[in-house]
Amino acid sequence: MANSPKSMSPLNRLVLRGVLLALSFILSAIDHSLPSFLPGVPPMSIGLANLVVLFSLIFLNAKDALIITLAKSFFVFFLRGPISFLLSLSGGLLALLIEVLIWVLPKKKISIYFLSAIGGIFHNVGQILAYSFYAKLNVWVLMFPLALVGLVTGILIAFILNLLTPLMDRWFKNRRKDFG
Amino acid sequence: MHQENKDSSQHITWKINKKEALILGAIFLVLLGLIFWYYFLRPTTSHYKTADIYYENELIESVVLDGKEKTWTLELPENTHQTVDIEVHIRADRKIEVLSSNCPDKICVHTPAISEPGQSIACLPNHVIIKIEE
Repeated sequence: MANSPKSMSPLNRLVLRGVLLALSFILSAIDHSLPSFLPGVPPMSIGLANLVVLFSLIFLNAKDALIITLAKSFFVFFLRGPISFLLSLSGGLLALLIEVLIWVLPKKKISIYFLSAIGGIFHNVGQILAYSFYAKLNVWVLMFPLALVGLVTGILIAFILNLLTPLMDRWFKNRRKDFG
Repeated sequence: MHQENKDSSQHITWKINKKEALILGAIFLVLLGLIFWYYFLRPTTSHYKTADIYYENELIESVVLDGKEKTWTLELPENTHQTVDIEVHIRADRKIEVLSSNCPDKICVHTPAISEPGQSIACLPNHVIIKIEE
């Protein structure tokens, strides 16, 4: 696959990081504006911004993914408030950690669907954990529907990334030809 | 000048294989079953439920959800340094919800109305929690 990050010029990588950061802000804004659907479930993020984090894990490196995760949590802090910041931070960091572990540990190849779905599940699990620790509420039963939503969202994200990859391949190949 | 780059994306495949699909499907079904059990199959009692309202983990109010509509602003026992401005509303269908709040997040306002034990609405910046007891 012609998308090796070291073959990108530093300027290209910088621009890509900037664009991905902006995109993660937009997705986070949409994510945190969605209403809650089940009674008793507070409106939590469903994990759309994980698309950008996953993309940067694949096409950039883990450090960039971490920076994007932290930055979008701070963005949510200014957009929504401190509670949403806590939820986004906990969910995003846990999802990133699990995704990196799943990426690094197994010897054979992992499918993007599996990676994204597990990341989505743990994104919401992280949110529930932070919420129950901070509020001292016993909300573990909310974990079931939210984990399910995370799984579905993860599969959706993997599907979107799958559609985008042929375009990305072409983009990267052209860029490499231009900038060496 | 060809560099042998460590192509990180080679570690990912873009199609799902059978084993992973099975694992994901199993997780999906287990979660679905747990949701179904919790929301539909648990035995419920027939008497009216009570909603307890806590401020900083102390019970300040307890209301019965008996179908009488009621809207009021929460009153704290002693006015502490922070003011809490939360409007609570009991609906005719025996659910309780938060109408308005002076917190920045407004998560409590956007949480759907609750009616079952175990459910809760929390306004964390204001340290207010509404829980349903049996």
